[in-house]
Amino acid sequence: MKTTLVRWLLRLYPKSWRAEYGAELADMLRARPLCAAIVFDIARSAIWQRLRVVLPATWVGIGLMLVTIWAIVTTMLAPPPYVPSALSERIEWLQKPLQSEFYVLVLFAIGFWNAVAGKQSPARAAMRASVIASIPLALIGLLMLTGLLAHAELVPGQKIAMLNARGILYPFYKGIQQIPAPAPLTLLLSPLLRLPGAWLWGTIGGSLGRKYVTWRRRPINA
Amino acid sequence: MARKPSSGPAADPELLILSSLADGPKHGWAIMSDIETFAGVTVGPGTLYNAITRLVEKELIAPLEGDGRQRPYKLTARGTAALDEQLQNMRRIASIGLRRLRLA
Repeated sequence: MKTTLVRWLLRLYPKSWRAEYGAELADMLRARPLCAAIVFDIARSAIWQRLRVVLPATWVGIGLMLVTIWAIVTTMLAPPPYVPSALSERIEWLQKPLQSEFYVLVLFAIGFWNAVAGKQSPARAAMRASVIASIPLALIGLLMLTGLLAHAELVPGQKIAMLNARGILYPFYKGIQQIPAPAPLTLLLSPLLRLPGAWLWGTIGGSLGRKYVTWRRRPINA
Repeated sequence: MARKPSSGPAADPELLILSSLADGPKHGWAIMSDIETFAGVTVGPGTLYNAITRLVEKELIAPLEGDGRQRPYKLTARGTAALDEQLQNMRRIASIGLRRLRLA
């Protein structure tokens, strides 16, 4: 029983940390009684170690996800567009950057930074951030499909959005049609649908990042 | 049960580990028992290994080859210098504080 609990507690830690310190910690835990305070101490320590190894792209993805949640909530709380008010105008103004190419710039920057820092594959880093950022959209799609949510407003007044719009609030990247509002299934699949775009912008950013690294390391008299 | 201070230098697990290793290498279990003895502070195993991880990364301590699963840790030259500096600072602050208390 105790051995199983110790094994489970150790699994809370990142694999790389376990490889380095896991055996020592396991011995220590097996040698003394496991009270609630020690279990709490281990859980807290494991969370801390996990946060330390989280990739920067994950943090960017979480940041984008929070921005998306905030944008959706403010849009839903805003008065309808046929009731002009200072609040709806202000929200529309606040959402402009989210409907702009800002999202592409973030993906590009993730790719660039990862190539310069040599941390992770640039395309994979951008895709990781994109999937995390899309989680709220997918959840909204799920709520709509299950009938818990009648419709979702992702842009103020649910204006017609081009499918090739690349804003953070749009689930697609490329297309030729116009749609009035995103379909539930599109929203549900948006983490997957945005992957090709994230791959593309991450790769472009990474390619420029590698060029920058080469340029920085050039011989001075060349 | 040992008392666990919530603040102050005696609650800093890094300083306590460095102080524990000042008289020679020890493994995790021995460090924890030693801290309980000399500081009266209980450091949980998770907290202890978090601090050990940070100290190894800062190159203030280093693991030695152990005979079993428990590896002993030793102070590095950098760790010795850092501990010395911290303790000298604490001594200076403590002596000023005590002197002023006596004058008050």
